[in-house]
Amino acid sequence: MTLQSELFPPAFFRALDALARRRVQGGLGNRQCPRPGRQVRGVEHRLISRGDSFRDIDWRASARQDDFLVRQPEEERGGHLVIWLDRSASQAPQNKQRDFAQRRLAYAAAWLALESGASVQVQGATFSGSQAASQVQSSLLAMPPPHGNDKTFSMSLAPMSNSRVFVLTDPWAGASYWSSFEPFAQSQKAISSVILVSPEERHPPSDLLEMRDAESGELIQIDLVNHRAGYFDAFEQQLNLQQAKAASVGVRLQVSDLPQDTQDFEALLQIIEASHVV
Amino acid sequence: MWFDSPFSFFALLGLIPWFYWTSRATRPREWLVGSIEPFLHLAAKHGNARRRWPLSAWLGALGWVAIATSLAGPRAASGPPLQIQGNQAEGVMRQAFDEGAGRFVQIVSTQPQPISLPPRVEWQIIPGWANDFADRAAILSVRPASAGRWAIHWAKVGSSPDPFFISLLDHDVRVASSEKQGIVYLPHPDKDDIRSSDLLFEIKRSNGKPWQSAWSTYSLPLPLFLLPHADKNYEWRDALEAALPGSRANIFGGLTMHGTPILTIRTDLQRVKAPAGLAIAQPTPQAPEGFLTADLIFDGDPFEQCAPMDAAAQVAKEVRAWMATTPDGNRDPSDWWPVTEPAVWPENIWPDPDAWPTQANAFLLAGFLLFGAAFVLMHRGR
Repeated sequence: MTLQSELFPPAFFRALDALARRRVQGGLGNRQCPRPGRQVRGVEHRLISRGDSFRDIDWRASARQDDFLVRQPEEERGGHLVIWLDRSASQAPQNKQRDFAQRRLAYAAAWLALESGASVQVQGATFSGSQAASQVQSSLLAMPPPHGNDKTFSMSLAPMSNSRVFVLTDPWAGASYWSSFEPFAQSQKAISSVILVSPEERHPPSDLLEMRDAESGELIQIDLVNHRAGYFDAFEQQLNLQQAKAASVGVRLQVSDLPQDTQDFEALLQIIEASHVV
Repeated sequence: MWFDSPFSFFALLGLIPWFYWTSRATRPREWLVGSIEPFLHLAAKHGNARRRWPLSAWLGALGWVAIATSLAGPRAASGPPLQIQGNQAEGVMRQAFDEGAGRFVQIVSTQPQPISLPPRVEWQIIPGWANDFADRAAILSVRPASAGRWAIHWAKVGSSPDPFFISLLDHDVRVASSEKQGIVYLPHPDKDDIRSSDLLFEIKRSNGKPWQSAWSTYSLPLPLFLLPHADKNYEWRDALEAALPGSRANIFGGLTMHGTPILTIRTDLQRVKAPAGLAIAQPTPQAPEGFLTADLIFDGDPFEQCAPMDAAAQVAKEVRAWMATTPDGNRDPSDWWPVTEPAVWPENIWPDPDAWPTQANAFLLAGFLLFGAAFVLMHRGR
């Protein structure tokens, strides 16, 4: 199994497609209307006509309709979305679930933004245009596994002004991480951050644990058989602390639990919906 | 404590994988987290102390030992409640006579010691695997009764309907099979019928085959209490044989309950003239517990105080003088037999084989309880 098929399986795209359709079709009075234009490819389809380029053909939709369909061009909207991924080692202490979820959510946010005519910036690289989605996907696939710590974050984050910033992180970000938002918090439209909580963090095993810090390698021993409540209290306090730190630097923080089933992409993409970042 | 199946102790080898497994099962699980900082206070509170062998390992090991002991140990329900080995019984009864009939009986059995065992009954448990006999009746004690009779205390176990007989030379008494124990009386045999110095009490089956034999010297032995290690002192024996011509002196080392060497003089019944008892205590004048009070006491050991010849002469002189004062040797044994209280045997001395829990079952139960507790502790991470 390649990383491509593992990270972005067909089921993920089906779920993303369903999400996009929900957003387009919406409910009564809650519908996003396509704005016809010439700037970007839209989400609406129409039959191919004279003057359309073959590159504009939506082959997947054409295959479903048994006719050549192109996406109706729309006017560009959405401005600029900056997506930043916390790639410190604390992202994937136990397994790849949060790492994969983070990259999938990043792609979903980027794709939705691109579909709405925005340009996106992922980890400092800017993407726009018709090939942007696949380029974003390639860049996410090429990302090295999480490593290091989040102290280098402040040096890396330098978004252009008047952007929307979307940050995916974990519950373990330190004080330096949050303080790095302070210099440009005023210059951005909105800074949204999502803390992804893995199921293992919510429900650690009832056992005597030798707890190792994924970033520093430090080791402590905790008895979660007899003092399980202490863990939950400490974890909740940590989340509350993150909320407080985020609020102090003007970041809107959302705490989201990753679904137990790693293949439940619909549940995963609901995190994007709840964040309102796109 | 005897064990019926000592090979069951090989089960203790299972302790090795048990300790290995519990050590692994209770080993802390490595758990990677993004940061340990929020949990530092928990670690500080509950410490990092972890024993190499947790409490559950030791508790389970105790249970393991208890179960192995239970499997190896004596089990009351595994056989008849009383078995007496023939050879052992001979020794038992001889010892009983030598030290006073009815006063000291040794029972050899595969079974646990009965409840309310009378004093002076020593219960010796032998392992079942070493027991290849199946006697189900025993002479527990013999003592002279009045009117020239012997009172023979017997006990029978099991539900065998076969009657049996208790005999003394040519005299038999049929014992009812329905009774568990009792006392039968046999007449004192004519001394002329006895060619040796021994009497033979026997338990016979109805077909006449002996079941158990109990030998004893008929004539009262003359116990001579010597100093420790004096059973090697043949000077005393020679002196006594010289003093009582025709008698045979035998030294038995460590025959008494207290391990005191005893020197007995076996005499031919037809020649003995009233050997009511001779005891020479040294260094204390009092006879040890369980023996006759000394009728003749030497003040000190002549063989330590005089030259050997002088000492032998002194012994012979005093013994002869004492013999001259004793009554006729043809008196009834009940006259000179040690006056002791007859052994009091409770009505039911045998344990109920169906009683629960027996010692083995208790060990088994304790073992499983300990195992259960070990698993509970292990589940709680200890």
